[in-house]
Amino acid sequence: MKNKVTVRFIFLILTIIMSITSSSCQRKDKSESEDVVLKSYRLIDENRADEAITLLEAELKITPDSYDFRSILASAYAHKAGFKIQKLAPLVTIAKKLSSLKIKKEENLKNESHKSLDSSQSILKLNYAFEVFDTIPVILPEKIVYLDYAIHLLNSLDTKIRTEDVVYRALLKVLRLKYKISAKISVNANSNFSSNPTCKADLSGLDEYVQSVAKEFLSLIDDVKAANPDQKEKLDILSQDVEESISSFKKVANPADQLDDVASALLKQTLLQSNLGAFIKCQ
Amino acid sequence: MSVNRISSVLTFLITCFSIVDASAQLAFSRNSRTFETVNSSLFIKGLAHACLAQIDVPDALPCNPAVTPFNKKASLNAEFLLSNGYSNLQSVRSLMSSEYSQELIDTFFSKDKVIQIEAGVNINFLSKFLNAQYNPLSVKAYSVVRNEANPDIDFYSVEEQGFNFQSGFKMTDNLSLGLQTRFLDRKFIKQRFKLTVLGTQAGRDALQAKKQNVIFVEPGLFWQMDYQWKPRLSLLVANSGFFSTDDTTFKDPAEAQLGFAFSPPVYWGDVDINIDYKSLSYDENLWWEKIRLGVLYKYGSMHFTSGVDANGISSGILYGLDKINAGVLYSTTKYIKDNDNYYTQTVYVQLGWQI
Repeated sequence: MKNKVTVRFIFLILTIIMSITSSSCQRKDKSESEDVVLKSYRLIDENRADEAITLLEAELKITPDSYDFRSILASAYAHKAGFKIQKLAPLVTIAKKLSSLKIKKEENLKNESHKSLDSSQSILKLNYAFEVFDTIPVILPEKIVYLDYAIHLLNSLDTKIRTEDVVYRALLKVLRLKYKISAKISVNANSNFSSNPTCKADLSGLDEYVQSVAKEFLSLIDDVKAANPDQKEKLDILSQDVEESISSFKKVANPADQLDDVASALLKQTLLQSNLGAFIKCQ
Repeated sequence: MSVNRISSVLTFLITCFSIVDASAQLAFSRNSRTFETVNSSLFIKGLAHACLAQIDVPDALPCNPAVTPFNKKASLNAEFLLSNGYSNLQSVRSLMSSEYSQELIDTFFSKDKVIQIEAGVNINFLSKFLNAQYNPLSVKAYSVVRNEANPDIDFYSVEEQGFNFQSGFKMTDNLSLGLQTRFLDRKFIKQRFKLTVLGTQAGRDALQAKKQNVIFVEPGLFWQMDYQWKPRLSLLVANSGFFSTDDTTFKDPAEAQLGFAFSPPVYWGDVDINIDYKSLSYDENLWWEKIRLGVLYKYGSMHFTSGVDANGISSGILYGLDKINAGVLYSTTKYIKDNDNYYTQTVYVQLGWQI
């Protein structure tokens, strides 16, 4: 009798273990029909963005209005372009430095000292701006098309776009902007440019470039504004400043052909020193 | 009730496991033995929290207050529990204070993109009439990041402190009733969010830690049967109480919890086998996810524990010297969770001092 009871209990324990195991096995089978969102996340994290894109595009054919699939597809394309958000983490530190940047001014200082302190502050800000620029990852030219498509996908969400995705689009636009700026700056200046008198500043090209960079920058600011309505006033002023600077640059750039030789040479030298050799054309 | 009958009923219930459609899926993998609102010791974690009918709990108060009259001797001890991932403790507390930094973001993307941490101190007093526990601080956090291109983060962090009092009396030699009162102060965040939401004021506001005071009043019943294998039945009405806010972030609804245990005789040492039916606050929608099995083998002052439930498996050892006890526990969601690629492994260590 005692043995019989013992056997029953052993059977009970084995049944419990087997049942829990069999339940978990069922769950594993279920993983094949895993939620599309999670599956695409997994593919992106495993550097299989192409497969994630195929999966999401197929799902979008079935449910074209799916917000989540479209937004994740945008991130899959951004990943294919080489973007990982943690690469931007150092920006948080720089942003903190920038926001805490305030030089204490003593009341008994002379006007000149105030001015020098203001200039020091501006130089520091500029320094941080360069630091920010350096921190932003560079997208390879052959991959920029994926980044553009990611932005396009987010744009297609139109008014339904959520604020966190507006921020994401702003980040992608920052990459786009860096690409645009770097593409011109990185062009090596030809050593003959300096000595060749037929080589002159291509101001209309430069103007076109500045306008397009400014347009992208303004669109970026619009996204930041949409995500942070409390900063709207500050950002409106910034947008206005950019627009004013661009329109004054346009005025200078338009009569480029009218520049005398000295001004033209000076401008050429400035462009060369600023690594903007791409805007010098030789006849 | 005969042992045979108990066995038959349980066998019937458990056989139903295999015909239930396991349709519920966790969105992300979780920790198998750390739960948002459960403050448990290493020994109890080792048993997969199957402890309602466990009389001898060497490092904490009994899980059911009705067990109080069965305490063998009075004791006072302090226990310190720590899990792996303790290096993330500072980052987690920064997030609770809304201090965003590069280090915090780096932490989210650290190894396997998973943050897990549990740390806590408990001071326990046990006697035949009254048990009391003071928890000066316990911290639990879990975070997982998916999609490195536009990270989706599932995160919770809970800081708790409070008191727990238990008392019980024997109605007969084998039947006892008990009452447990828990007073808790909680500070917590539980959110699934896109990392980019931190770029908006509204998002940062939504990630502010919330506070809640809770008083739980939990009655229990314990019945020990006179059979050779000492079958024991335990019932606890858990999570019945009062909340200072209507916040429903944590699902800890009042529920009746059932525990069954028996001790098959072995030649050396003692064996306790526990089976509990209870929620541990994750989204356990299916009834079989609430079943937990824990096995204890005690030899002298060594306690070997093993446990299995739908959240994972665990195994540990707790060893007590004269004044000091120490233990280590391993738990994992591997073999249990849906995706073998996404699983967690946790090691807990505990050090205690008996006064």
